[in-house]
Amino acid sequence: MTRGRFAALALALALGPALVLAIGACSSPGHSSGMLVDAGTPDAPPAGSGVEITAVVDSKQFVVREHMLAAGEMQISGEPLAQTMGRDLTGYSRDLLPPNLYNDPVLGVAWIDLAGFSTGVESYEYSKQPMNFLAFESGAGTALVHAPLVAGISNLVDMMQHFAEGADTLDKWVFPAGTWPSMNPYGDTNPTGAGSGAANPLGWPGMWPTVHLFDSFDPTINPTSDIVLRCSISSDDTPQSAGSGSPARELCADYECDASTLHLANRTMQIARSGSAGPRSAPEGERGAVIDGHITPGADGFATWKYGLWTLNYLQIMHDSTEAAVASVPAADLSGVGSAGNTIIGDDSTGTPTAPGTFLGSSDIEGFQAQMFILEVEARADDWLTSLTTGDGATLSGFTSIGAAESYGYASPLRWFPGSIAVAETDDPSTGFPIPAYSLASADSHALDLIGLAMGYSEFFALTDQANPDVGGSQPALAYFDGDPFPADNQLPDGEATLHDRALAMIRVAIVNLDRLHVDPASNIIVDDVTFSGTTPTRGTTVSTTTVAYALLGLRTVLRSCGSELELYSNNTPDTMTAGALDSLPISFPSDATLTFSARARQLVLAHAELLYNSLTDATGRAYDGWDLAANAPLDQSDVLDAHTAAVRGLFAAYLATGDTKYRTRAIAVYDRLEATFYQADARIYTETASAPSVQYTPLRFALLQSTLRDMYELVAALPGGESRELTLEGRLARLDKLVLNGWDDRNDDQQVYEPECVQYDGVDIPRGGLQMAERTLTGELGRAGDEGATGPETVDRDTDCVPEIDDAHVPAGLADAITFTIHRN
Amino acid sequence: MTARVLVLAMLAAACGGGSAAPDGSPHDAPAACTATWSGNFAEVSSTATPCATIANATVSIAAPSMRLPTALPISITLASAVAGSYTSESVTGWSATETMTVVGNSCIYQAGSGVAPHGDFTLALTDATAPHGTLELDMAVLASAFSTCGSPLTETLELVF
Repeated sequence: MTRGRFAALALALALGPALVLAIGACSSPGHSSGMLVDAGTPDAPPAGSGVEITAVVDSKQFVVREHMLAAGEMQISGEPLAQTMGRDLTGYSRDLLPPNLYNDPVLGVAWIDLAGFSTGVESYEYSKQPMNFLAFESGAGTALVHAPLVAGISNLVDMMQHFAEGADTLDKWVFPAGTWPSMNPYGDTNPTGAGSGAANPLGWPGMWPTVHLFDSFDPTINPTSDIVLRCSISSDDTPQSAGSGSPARELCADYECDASTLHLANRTMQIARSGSAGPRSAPEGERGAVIDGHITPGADGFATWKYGLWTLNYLQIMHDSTEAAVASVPAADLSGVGSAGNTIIGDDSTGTPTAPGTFLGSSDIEGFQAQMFILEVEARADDWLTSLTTGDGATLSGFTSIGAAESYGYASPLRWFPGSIAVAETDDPSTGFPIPAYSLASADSHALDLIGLAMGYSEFFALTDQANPDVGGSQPALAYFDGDPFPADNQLPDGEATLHDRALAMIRVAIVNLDRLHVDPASNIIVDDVTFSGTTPTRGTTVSTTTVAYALLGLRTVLRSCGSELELYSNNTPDTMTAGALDSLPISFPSDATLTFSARARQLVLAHAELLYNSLTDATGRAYDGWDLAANAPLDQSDVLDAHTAAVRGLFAAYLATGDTKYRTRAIAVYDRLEATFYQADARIYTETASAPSVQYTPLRFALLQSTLRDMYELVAALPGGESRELTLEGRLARLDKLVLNGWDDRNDDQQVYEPECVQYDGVDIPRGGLQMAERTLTGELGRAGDEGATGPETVDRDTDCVPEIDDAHVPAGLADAITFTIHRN
Repeated sequence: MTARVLVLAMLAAACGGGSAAPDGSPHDAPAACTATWSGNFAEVSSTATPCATIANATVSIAAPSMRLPTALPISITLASAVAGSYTSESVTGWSATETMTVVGNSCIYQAGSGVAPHGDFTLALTDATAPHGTLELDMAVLASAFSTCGSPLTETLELVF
């Protein structure tokens, strides 16, 4: 693999010293972003402020709950934030060199837009790739093929073929199982017949669909650098119909069409299955005590939330045979959308007729993947409800029916989601996917786990709720849940074998047990952890501000979903719903038999909003990192960034859930103190404590900070009276994304990447990114140097943004578990 | 003057990050319009003649600067031509855009209701007939592809007119 310097330097040198001087004169040498393709002499260091930041990754471990929580926040801080910042998303290219350009439709020129590109492209697509890695590529979970709802490989193959037909993915990326045709029209072109049918047991070569996710694993992979398949991918951002004369789809490396080399390189050791290898120590120098083969409600829950956010996105539109967006079809034609050979003509958003043939989802690939996500989360819910709860704290069992779970209440025999379930696998040569067996590892309960489950299934309930006009009631969603490919539902919480009722059941059990197990009856406040001895729970006495924030966000998400108001992103006005889909089923609350599910959830919202306002923050903006219910006092007097970011996230959620502006006012006060206390202006970095010389970023810390800046932008700067904050917040977001995610310390603030500005640059090895360890096609790594991709020499960092391609980094396009940034002042 | 010296002279005038420049007013008469610039570049510049006009409820300002190629054109459309306090969120439309190009570096100073980022302003209009007042304006500095435009990439104008 090669590496090198920036092409523009050679160009500048060729044009003569005067031009070099001129380009660099404003503050530093002007380094046009090029690509790392050969080994060259680094050009002169830029004149900076005298402050430099370097970084060391502490752990590459993939911790699913925290990663997927962060991924959800990164998605919301992605395209929708860029749009709120006034950007037209069609102004960005994912493969243009140099990156970061915004082709401004108002100005008619392209300018360097770090805020817009880092949110609308990088944060957004970075959030997608680790999700796909978990769901389809890595094998870092239990095999979907063995989930009871799927019931075997022949059923799964049939479903995948049907999904591909419905989304127009067939014979492009998905082929008849056991075959790998050559000379396909596009997608997985395979001009030389390189693929083997044996490597395609399901339909999409190398796909490894999961149902439950291991909570933590070593993500080492060995992706191929080959381009023999002449692979290209397309999406709603780069549909095959875009461009003039030639498709806009992205030519890329083979791993985008064949996931075989994206599997965990040594899966057995990397997940250390229970009952065989057993838990093992993490590699030296890496954080995390053990790597284990366990599943948890939290990992599945926040992954479901992330899958849900993305699936809602995929189901905003349908697409035609050229992959152009279809907004609507005649009502009589809706049931035929996605059927083989259909010639249905719809309308786009302007009312213009679309090309004949209308298919499911936003694009060929996305429409297919959306169906896979839906199948995976429904199979996941089916497992949890029917066999992965416990009623005795010692063994796993299930509810007697979906209806019984939907009716679960405070008087029901206690049945809960245990905090950790061990997985033992046996090989299955007939399918190639190991058969899992589950056993209870810990009966303890963790509040954040239950919140994640409730948030995740709230997203999917919205997708099936026809009373929700913008989500489940929209044509693109109705086309999925009209009996083909997924069952229709009568829209009642009555125990049907549908995603609608399974999602409601998951929400019900998670929230009721959050209340029954974790809420202190005297204060109505959740505690983080509950331990079990048999069936006897012992409630802890503390709650972190982070849990309070996500409790508020989770409860609000549940209320909005069950109240048919949840939308994909547009949840930035105070709520108005008064009832919900689960209110017809009595909860039998001990002190008030008439209390409904929604009413109890609103009580909990108010209790935690008041805790944030009265106890976890004060009028000066000071925030505390948690509350000790026994002492009726903050956990401690530490003054830390996370307490403030969590408080801001929670206070804005409280404002939106209640409409009470005092929470918004307090959120602004906390943010202002955060800025004054934890932002080091000369280094342009937020540290965990004031004036600290270094700071460790984790996915959770990053997510809290990024969402704080996003909420401040969307709920303050974008509204009357807050506009003076706009430019500063754009600058903060751009710097956070570029420094912490990409690992680019733009020391001279010239917006041009200069290789030694990469925080993990050592002058020898490849750049190693930041918290984002690697990237792939959707953020500019096409595998080859050519602008068109799949041509030219292999590249390490084609777009010269400090983040290497996955085949060089040997890790997925995902977040590290921890990275420490150190500030050097010369 | 060699080409290289000429380039340096042009850049010295164009690029941001320097200290405050001397008053650029060539006039001895009392200033009718004084612009204080800070951020990407710093400068105080004045004109002896008024820099603001009003017609059809639209205030038009030419904010003086020796650094920019021409005075920065600012347009603020009010609901009606009356004195008072206004902000970027309370008017029907506004804009302020100028491009400066020096030896391959194209830098756009931009703000307005129809662009992104918007930037912001506060206007205290004390007289709406022969317009007088103060304006504080925050704008973005956008670097075209391959351009460097100094630091920070924001510019603040404080104008007394």
